[in-house]
Amino acid sequence: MTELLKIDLRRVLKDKLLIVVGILAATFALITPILYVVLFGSQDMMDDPMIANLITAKSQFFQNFSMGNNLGLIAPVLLAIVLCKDFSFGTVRNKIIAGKSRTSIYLSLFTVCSVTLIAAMLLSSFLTLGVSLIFFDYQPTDFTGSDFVYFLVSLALEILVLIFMAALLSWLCAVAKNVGTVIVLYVAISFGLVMIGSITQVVIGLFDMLGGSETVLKIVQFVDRINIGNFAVYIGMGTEYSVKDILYLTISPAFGILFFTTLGLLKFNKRDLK
Amino acid sequence: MGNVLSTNLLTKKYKKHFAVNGVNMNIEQGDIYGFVGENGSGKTTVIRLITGLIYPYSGDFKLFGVDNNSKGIGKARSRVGAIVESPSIYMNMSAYDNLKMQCALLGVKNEDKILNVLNDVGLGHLYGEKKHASDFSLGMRQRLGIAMALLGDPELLILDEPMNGLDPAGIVEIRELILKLNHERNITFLISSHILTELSLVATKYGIISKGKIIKEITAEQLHNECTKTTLICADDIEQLYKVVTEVLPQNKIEITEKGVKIIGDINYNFVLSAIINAGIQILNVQYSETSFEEYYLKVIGGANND
Repeated sequence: MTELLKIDLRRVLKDKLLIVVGILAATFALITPILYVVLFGSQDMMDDPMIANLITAKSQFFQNFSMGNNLGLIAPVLLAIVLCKDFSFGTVRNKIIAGKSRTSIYLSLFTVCSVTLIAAMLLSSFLTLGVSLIFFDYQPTDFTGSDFVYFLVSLALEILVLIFMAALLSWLCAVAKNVGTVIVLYVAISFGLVMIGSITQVVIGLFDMLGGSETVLKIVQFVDRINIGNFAVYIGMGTEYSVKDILYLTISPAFGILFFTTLGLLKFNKRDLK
Repeated sequence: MGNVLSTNLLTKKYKKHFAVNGVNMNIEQGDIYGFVGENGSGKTTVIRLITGLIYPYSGDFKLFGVDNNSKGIGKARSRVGAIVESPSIYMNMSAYDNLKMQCALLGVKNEDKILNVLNDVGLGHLYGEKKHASDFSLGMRQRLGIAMALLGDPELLILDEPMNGLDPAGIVEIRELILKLNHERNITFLISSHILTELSLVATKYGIISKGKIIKEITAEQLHNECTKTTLICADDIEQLYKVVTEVLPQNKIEITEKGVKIIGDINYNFVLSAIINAGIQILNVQYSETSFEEYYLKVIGGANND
């Protein structure tokens, strides 16, 4: 497994697409806060508590992790291209012929995917934080007596979401026959989750205004809370977490990671390779 | 000699089509096994099955005595080097980086081996060169693939169509390399090819596959006998003719037929015919024939297809 991790990490680091990811990370970090200033910078807008909540350096930092946003969408797509090269170049054959088990090949792919995705997103988010601090306040959150704890808990939750994204991506790489299919399916699933999140938010808003069946509302709220595509609304936005919040934000991606990794391992262990 | 590979009714089925159907083949240590068959006959599928890239529908095989269904198959497979269909190389990396990756994969610590294997395959000039494999010719990629397969000091080297894309000089170099590795390091080879004449220059044993079935396994010696030159001399006194010919050609295989005497192998015509005439035998007819490997192969394939 160590040998596999070493070569998978080396091939990812040697890929020029990683430079593209770096450039995009820096570009988004610079552009996003400026766009927020241009779009929502007026006093009228700032008076709206929802928008004011978005325009803090801290929320900018955590918004950057969203799977439907900027780098949150592009980084996995670029990473899919890099990871799938093992299949398109046929180099995965070398690993099997070298006697490595398919399980360790898959787990190495998943680990490297997670590490690279986390590194790229952290780089981008910390750059965003740096640029945002020029324009916005940080606005600390008092959580268990410390904003630092709030920051760390939020970051851990975001990293869990990133690992979920890596699990989804690795599964797709193991299932799909070419990189094009991987990208299309990944984007469709990500957008699907984000879209479902938007719909549930609107429905919940409508229930607030117009009322309706309690059971339906509870179902919609449950879907809203377990939907990973909607986690950007909850993580790091300055609202303190309840135990229930943390359970929702933890169990859902953890289940997704387990589900896709198991599915990917089962498929990859049975798959005929070209 | 130990058994390196033996397959037992190995079968691969894709939907309703049998790509490989009940293949039995045996490769002994030190063999250069020429795996011959037309396009789509199942050569690459058998190689994929052996290398673990695909799973059999039924049947099994033993690699270095280890059953393919046992846990030790991974370890047995690590004693194999292979190029399956096309060389498995990172196109966005140099030859050196590709070999370095392979060193890391195989746990090879001594990086001096990189230069050694590059020299072995005639790519020594690429050591330290930054040119990416995507800019290599097909022949260079093929050689790089062989170099990568050699890094782990394999005991069995599986080469699927290794002469593909090589120029004549490259073909000679790779052929010499195969023979050198076989003689000096006792590496066993499984080489698939449809360039029969090329294969006949190296192989010590052949497996002929057609429509997913091995229809003939034959040693180079047996093949030589099947393909060798024959001369049929017809005369008025066949018994006397046989006596004279066996006396002057003690090394050759000689058979009596209805029409005359059949001599197998090369002969000095002037010498033999003079001896016959001097013995007072009247020669009625002399027929010379030679079966090439290609003709033999077509005959075997044709026979199998007619069955």
